[in-house]
Amino acid sequence: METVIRVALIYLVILVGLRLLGKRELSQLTPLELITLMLIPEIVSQSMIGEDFSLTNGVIGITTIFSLVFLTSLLKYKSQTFERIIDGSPSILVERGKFIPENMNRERVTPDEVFGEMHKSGLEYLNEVKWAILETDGKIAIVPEHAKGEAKGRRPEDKSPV
Amino acid sequence: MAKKKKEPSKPAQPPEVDRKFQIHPYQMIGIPLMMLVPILALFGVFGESVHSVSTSGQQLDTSVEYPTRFRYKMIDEVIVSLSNVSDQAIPSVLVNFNRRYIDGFSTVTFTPSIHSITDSDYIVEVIDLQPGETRVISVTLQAEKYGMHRGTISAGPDEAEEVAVSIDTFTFP
Repeated sequence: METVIRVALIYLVILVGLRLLGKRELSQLTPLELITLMLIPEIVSQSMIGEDFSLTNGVIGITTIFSLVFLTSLLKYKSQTFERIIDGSPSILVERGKFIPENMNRERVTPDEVFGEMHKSGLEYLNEVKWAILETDGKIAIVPEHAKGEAKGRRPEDKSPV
Repeated sequence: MAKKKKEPSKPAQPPEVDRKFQIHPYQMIGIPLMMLVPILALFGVFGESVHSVSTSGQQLDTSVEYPTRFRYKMIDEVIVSLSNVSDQAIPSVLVNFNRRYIDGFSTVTFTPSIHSITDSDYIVEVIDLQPGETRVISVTLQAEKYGMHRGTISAGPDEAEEVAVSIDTFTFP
């Protein structure tokens, strides 16, 4: 019983912690972030399993984590509010060839990083970018000024289901 | 001249779909099974549990508290309480712990210590048990071999007066 509660608490703390770190930290691991992520299991393993090193306790811990991950993904899928709480929302970094400094500062994304992603998309100048969006997985998506497939999406004001 | 369409201030949003709970057939079996483990653990199924059993003879009341379930490498205790219910002092009580049971564990500590060892038993002696007096023998065990361990604990001033208690403990791997 204790293991289930311990694992659930640690899961919650890690989930909230990673959410607080921000999107960018999830996609690119700097040495500092790598160390942080490597240290987390070392720190929490003792607090999760305590002095009980039995296989039974390990199985309980793993199945608890898997169950929590499944329940979280289920809730995320069913509730868009919950999805926003867990994953956050995409942040717009460039709008029609112009940086949005407020969002870049908040997400700690440098102009060089945006340009790096632009180059991967074959773009050289900022005014060729319609949107640069920091997605919830921490990756930067570049939409060029003459993007194809715009018609497949829906406008922000259009909330009706398909 | 065609009127220029007003551009949105946000990127296009994905169209919504009717979100339903649907899973793969293999998940219908696997997910409940997986979730069953922490649920059972929350109800203490895989945890330690202690059982107590008592038996009485003409001179001696014996009660044994022992773990029925515990996990690999965890430490627990078997506690034997002996009470003299007669009006005379009992000079010596021999308490026999079945080796078949005890040898399934490691780091075994008897308090008080062992008086003798036979092929079948570890024997602890309690001396001079006064009328109404209760003495406690504790055996600290560390789970080593997983599976079911069965045995008996018997106690008495002599073989004719001996009372026996069967105990069994399941050790989770």
